[in-house]
Amino acid sequence: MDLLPEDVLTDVLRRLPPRDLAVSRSVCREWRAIVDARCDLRKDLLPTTLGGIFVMMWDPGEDPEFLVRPSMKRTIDGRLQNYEGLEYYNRPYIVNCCNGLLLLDEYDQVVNPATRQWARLPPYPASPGSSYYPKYLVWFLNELGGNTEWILKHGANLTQISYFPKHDHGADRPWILQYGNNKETAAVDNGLDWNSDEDNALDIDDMGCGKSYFPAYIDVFGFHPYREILFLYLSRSRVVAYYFNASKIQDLGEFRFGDIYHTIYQAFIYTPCWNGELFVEN
Amino acid sequence: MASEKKVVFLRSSDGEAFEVSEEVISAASVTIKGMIDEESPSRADTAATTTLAIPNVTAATLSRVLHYVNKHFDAAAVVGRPDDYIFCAPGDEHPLARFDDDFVDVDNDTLIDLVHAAEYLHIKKLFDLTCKAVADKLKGRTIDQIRETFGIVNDYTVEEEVEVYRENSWAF
Repeated sequence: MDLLPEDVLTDVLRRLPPRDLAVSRSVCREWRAIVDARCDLRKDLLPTTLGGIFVMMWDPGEDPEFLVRPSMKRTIDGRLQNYEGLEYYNRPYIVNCCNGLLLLDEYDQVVNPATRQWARLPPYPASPGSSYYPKYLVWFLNELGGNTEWILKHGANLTQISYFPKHDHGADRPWILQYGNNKETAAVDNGLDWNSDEDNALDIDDMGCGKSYFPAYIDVFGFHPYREILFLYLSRSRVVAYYFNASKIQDLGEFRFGDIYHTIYQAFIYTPCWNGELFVEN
Repeated sequence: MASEKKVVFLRSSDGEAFEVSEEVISAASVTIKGMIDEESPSRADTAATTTLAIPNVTAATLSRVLHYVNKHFDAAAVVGRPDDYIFCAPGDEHPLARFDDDFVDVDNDTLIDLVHAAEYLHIKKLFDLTCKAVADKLKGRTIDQIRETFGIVNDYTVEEEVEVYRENSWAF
């Protein structure tokens, strides 16, 4: 394919949202030069620096606390209860946080403390039907054209996954449990790292799923930050990556977290932030 | 031709000539309008039709472009206000939205040819449409997928790659 000339490429790239623009910077030198010179990749506006830590207490009357680093003290007001128009019962109740946004339990409000803006998500769609087996639905919030609506992107009936064979498939590039309460999983360091390109993912049908007798108990760890992958924990022993668009599954290894009687309360998909600002404070 | 409507012929880089209404192509393409305006004094009182050379566009691409132009800029064919559809909400679909979707649902080479043609002929709506379609091919892709799709060779050194990755680590 002919490479796009610079001016055309600029027109293409400026139509990309920030995340894809950032990915484009990494493609080659020319693309990075164009992004840096011609487009507004506003690094200063993106969630690359640590602002602080929101802390929720068990006591239902306590407001969320905001532990803020000194440089952010004046720029970010973490006292959500001061925000005009924000709705809550006893206190703002934070249920999740990503990309600089907080999700509140009440009225499904999304809050950006940096800009003190908030918005209400449209009502969650009703879950169609009910079934004995777990059903996971992936909904995307479509924000095109000023409208916001939930769109069902994928309705996965995980019945087949829940019958994932227990011991038949060893992971060829297992993940490693680094600081578990138990012994470190003995993983062979074969120099290969996990990648999310499906090259060793198998079709659910090919794995002999459905042949096992007992359905697995499924915990959901979370979504990959940008790919259509759901990380699942099956029967409290096996971690898999489930490519929900391709109906493929990838074994990440066998793990036991904590004591056999313990259950996982919440898991967070962590994306490391490598810029060193946290340690350089003048 | 009994009709009063003037037509012009466009000759592609590979020598094929295409007939198009002068009015329609002038409304669509700034470049061709300029060519016609330049020619007009010499042909004001002659019945001979004009043939314009379009040296940068192949027949395959030119015929696609004219298909688009006739759909979008022929006042007789266009339903509703032709220029407003881009601002329509997703719900109230413009009659040509479907046409546009199908129009850019082509392989990468064809799409890039259309971008170039739209740029050269200065057809802004087509340029916007095709650039957006290329951008859509980049969305949600990994670096390697983008390189593969667009045939780009990674010219970063290992050190540079690590650096640029770190700068944008929030995106991965």
